[in-house]
Amino acid sequence: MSFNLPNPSLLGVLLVISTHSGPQLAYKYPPSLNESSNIPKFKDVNNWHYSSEEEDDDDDELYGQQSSSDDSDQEFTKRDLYEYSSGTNSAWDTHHIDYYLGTKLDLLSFLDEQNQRRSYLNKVKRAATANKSSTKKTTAKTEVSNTDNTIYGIDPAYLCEMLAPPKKMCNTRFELTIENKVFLGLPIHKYDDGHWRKPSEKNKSYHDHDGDIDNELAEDPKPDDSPSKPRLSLNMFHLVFIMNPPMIESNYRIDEMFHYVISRLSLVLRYEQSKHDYICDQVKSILTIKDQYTDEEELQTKLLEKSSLCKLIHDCYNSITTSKIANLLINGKLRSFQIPIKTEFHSLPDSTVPYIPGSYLSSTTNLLNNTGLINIGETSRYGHTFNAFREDDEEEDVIMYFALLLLDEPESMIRDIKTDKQSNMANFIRMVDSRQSLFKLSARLKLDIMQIKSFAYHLIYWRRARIIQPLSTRSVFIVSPMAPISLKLIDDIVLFKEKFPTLPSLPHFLKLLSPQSRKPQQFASIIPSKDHRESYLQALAWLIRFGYVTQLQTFIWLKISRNIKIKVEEDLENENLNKKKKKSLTTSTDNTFKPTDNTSKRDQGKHSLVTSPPEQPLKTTLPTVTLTEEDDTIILDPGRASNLERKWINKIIFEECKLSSELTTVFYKLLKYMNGKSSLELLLLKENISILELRKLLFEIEDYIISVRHW
Amino acid sequence: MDVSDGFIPIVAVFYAVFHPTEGTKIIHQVPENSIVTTSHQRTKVVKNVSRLSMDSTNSDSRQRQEDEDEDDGLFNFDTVKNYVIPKPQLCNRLISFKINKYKVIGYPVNMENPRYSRNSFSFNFCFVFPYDKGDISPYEPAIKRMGQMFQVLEEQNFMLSKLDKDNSFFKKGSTGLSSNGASSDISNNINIGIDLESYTNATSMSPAASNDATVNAPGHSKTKRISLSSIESLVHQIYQDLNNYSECCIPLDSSNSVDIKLFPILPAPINLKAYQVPIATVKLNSLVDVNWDPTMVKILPFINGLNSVKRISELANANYLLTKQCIQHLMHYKCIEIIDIFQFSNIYAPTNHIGDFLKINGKMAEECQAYVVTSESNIEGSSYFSHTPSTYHNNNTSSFHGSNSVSPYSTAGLKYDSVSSSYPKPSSSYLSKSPKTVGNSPNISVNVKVPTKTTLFYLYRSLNQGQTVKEWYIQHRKLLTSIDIRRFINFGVLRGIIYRVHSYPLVNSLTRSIESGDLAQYDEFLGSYKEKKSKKKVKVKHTDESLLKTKVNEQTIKTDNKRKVSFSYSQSNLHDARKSGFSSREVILENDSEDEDEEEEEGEGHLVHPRSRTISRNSFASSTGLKYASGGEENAIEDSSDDDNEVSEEKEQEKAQLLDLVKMLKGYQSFDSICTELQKSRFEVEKMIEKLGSYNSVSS
Repeated sequence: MSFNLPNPSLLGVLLVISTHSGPQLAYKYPPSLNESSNIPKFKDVNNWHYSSEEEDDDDDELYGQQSSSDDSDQEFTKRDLYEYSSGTNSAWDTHHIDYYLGTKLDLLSFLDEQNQRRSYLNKVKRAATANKSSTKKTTAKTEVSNTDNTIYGIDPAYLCEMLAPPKKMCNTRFELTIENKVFLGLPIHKYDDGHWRKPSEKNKSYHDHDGDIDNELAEDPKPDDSPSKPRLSLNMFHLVFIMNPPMIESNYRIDEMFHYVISRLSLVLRYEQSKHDYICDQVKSILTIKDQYTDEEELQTKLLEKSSLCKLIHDCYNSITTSKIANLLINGKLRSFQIPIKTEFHSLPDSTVPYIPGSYLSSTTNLLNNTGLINIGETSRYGHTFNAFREDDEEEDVIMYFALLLLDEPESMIRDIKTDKQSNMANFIRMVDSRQSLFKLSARLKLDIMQIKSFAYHLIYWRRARIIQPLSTRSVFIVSPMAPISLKLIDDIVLFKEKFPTLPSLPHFLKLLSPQSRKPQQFASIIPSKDHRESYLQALAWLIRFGYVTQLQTFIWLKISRNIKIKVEEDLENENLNKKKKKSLTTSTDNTFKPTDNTSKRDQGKHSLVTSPPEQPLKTTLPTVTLTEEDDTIILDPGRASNLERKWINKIIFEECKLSSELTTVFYKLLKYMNGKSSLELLLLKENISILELRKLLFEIEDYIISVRHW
Repeated sequence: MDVSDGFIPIVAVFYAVFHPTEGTKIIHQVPENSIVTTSHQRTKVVKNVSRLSMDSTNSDSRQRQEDEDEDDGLFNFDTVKNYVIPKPQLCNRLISFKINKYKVIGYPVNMENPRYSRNSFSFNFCFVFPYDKGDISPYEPAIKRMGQMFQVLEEQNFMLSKLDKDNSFFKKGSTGLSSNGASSDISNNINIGIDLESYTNATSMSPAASNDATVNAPGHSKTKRISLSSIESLVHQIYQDLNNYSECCIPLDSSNSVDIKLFPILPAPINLKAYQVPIATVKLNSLVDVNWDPTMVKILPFINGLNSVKRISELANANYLLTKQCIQHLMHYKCIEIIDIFQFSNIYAPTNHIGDFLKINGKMAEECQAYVVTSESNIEGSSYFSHTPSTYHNNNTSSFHGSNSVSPYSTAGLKYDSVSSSYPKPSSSYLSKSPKTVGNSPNISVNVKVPTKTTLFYLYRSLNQGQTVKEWYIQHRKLLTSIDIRRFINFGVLRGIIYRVHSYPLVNSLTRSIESGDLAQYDEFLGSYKEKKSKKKVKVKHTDESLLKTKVNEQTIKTDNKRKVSFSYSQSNLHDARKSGFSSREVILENDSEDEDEEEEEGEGHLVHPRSRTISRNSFASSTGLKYASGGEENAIEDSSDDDNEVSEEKEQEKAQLLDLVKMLKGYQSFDSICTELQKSRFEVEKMIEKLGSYNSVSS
């Protein structure tokens, strides 16, 4: 399934109200809602990535306008025909799922098309910069001209009846499906006492939405009863989202939309209604405007101009359909809504699982897994397969050891989030350094840890930053297996050049990070001189930001060699045979990795695999198969080692390696991390251990360590 | 999303109609009283009585259900009335809605006929599901079809409307729906009428029903007797059967029945790439039947975990796009998984799942031991060999390892591991089960040492982003005895503990022209460059080709037996065979890239497909030759005496290839992709790229 790709499947938004005279459709956007108008879905296409990618935005937008407007353009019609005939038009729409599913054609024809597409876009771009405004106008015109009053073939009057449900179905999630169109919303009905929100325990009456919104709104439960204007007897309002999700993902997409957008937006509207009678006022003005203007086109523009509710519905639709963040002005207050996109992966998706190009791959993602801040990508075709382990209880604070990587330029970010330029937030954003942990940052800024954390969470949730390990030249980096080389490199080469004109080109940089005939090296090894250090690190941050590069981390296990085991065995035998037997039987908590059944093995002093077939009979047959004696044991969770395992470990540190007392303390500090799950890099950050000590220790116990490097 | 084939059970089924006097009401529901209606309290007593007439098994389960929902029911019917039978304009479509914690799906049908008392009749079979328990889309098409079927039956025979005992759906006295019909109805169905009827034999049909049929639809009565005696029994059976068996088959009469089978809906397959390699997870051969698509049957023998999609299409002499489709279908039904082309020049590295190899009670490790073990002799003999097309059919168990390892080694080996504790001599089964091994191994007394799990783990972890398999092999050769490397790698890739590191050639001159923002110039520059270059290179190139032609036949015979693990790239066998057919294309493409006239180029790109299909036959012949890359050079000189025609053809063809190459470089394709497309070894491709200037190789 393609859950990794954003697919809002939003077709339109309706505002249905119910007054004493019955249900009524107050506003709909887009103005025409019928099957035909939605097939070439190029309207208001924008890139859903980040605002930083203005370049891309432009391309798509201009192309979109061109395609929906310039019907007279010979070239376009010809192209259009071709595309429809071969059925590949959707394959080029970055918002269409087909774009990510690979080409149906064979590679060469695909590349031909791609190439042609690119130069076409360039041409359009050049041509369109001149007459941008004119194209925009024509777009609007074509949009309105094919307005048809029905909504997907259904008379709005009948539909409204259905969308204005009886009171018992209100104030809870509403879902109506007619054939393949889902009408989803949270109808808000006035309570019997005339209030819009339950005067007392209103929080408890809602199960379907996030608690935090209600809490946020709960501050002022009393409706503002001051308005002097004549009231419209509004009983119910219902913001209905029309969706057509693909059948297989239907539930998922609907839940997503409801949870992240509909419930939150509807509750904000309810709050505004109860406090300021916002919906009533707006509906009244919409109705007056509708009376004033009969011309459809004029009406639409006037509605958008004069009614903030229409404007916000319009904005909401446009942002959500393109999977962007919807920054809506609701009764003068800015609120943001988004369906989070999945750009973080803890493990590599199957080759058959599509994902957003430029996604990030790192197991540190697991740290945020439970915070709800990010949506972690699916890695297999058939749903969830991997349950991330919970690191520790202290995981909340672990984030402080990490650094933030901004996904945009600080100043433009400050502008975007409309925060005061001198506010703490703005200062924080300016100070963020991908080389420094949040702890260091809080010390520098003299800000409370909690505040730093909340800033960080905010930026992460709103797609403006991500968590990485503080960048260091000692870390090892590789070109990410998810690097968008085929898809985006051609554009990113230019971006990289603009950003770092003095550095080697992007391909060269990537080459430096792909070692030939040797293991991946520390980043320091590719920096030519000390003067380059700064700029190389910046380039590295850029590469991580665009998903080209990921960090390799080291994970270690303790490996108990056969010698140790035999020695321990002998010791034990010397002690007391009977006692030993009892003990080992009771302590067989199976967290070691062993060739055979643990208990039997422990009982068998000899380590020959008694439970497996003896070698003798094998020799009678042709090629003899022997299970080589398992000589090493890898301890999976030394933090919860069994008695025997502890004896092994003690044997190693005290007798085999004869660690000094300092190193022994370091060893015990690290012991619980030798489980292949916590990276050395992370524990260096967490536990107060110097690299020198760690190196010394690892060198000493080298023979008893097995390490793996991955992201 | 649920992975299992288990379907969300139906909570309730009800049949509702729009009653001319009482409005929308539920006629029957299963389990009873699960949906609260206003008339609920009144009818309850009657229904309890009627339930006594049920056979005991059903009433038991019902009793239970009812006890649970007795008080509130699932929801109040009055609230949703207008959604169950909506306005006629909204009828005759699949409609679902949410109420409380349930989702109700139905296909409301509205029919107009002057005979009906309000000139129309509306009904709906509704299914109730829990709202957030999961995906109920498998039911949707079935429910829609059922609604449509009853619509037709009602149209023909008034099958549903006439079942009403008061005959209230028809106009009094209209069209001869006589009062005696109604009265006899009543007389038959006092109190427990319908319930009783449902459990009587279908042959002892209620006289009222037969009467109605004759009266209402004179034309049909003789030939078609609708014997639907009770909606209740129908609804009940649907509910029971679908929940218990996920299917139902309920005859209504001699020619109509309600047949429903639920199928899980799987995600659409994504489009595969030419260089990806399908590997079977089930015994595909055993699935074939006569109805299979011919292309599918054709390509099946070549799906062996070695051949790429592109190569399969060539070997099977099938159109590439069709082959791709077929393989995508197989993927859709989880019959195959996708791996990469195994070559010793590949790079693999551990993923974050590598720790799993140690976990799960060592199960993965055991399976790995069983799967990868081989004797030295096997390396030459069966292990590499048993999966080539020629032996594929002989070896019944050879559909090989996916997640349920079924290869000869793994099945036998697994047995060896798991059974071992209880039986002293299970090892003999190991050999008896893999006759190939026995037969092929020349040296009988080889001692195969199964590598330890720690060793295997050590080997997996020692793979890294900077080393090719070849380099890695040389470094760890000692540990790799009796390990089949290809299987070792495949196992790791399929289990997700290692991943393939792809390398991409990034040509510097291309980068420069992109940076300067002028790709078009690059095309032109290349165009002229190629002209010159290709002239120079014709000689060399040509010799390769002619050699290929002359030697193909004898090599085909030889290679099957002598196939070995070699460090030359396994793709080298894919020598180019796009011959004569391309000359015309080439000319046009050349012009296009210079003119920048995209429309035409596009069109041409499409025309080419059918042609390449015919060519694939040539490549079939050549593709079996395995060792040309190495052996070709020396012999080349001897064969270089072809006529002029040939020379120019070769030249054109090479130009075409260079153009393709440039296209792919511009598209930033990986080496695998380029090699597959050009049907050349990586070595050759590297040489070709070098002609275009220096390049960076990036591993990702």
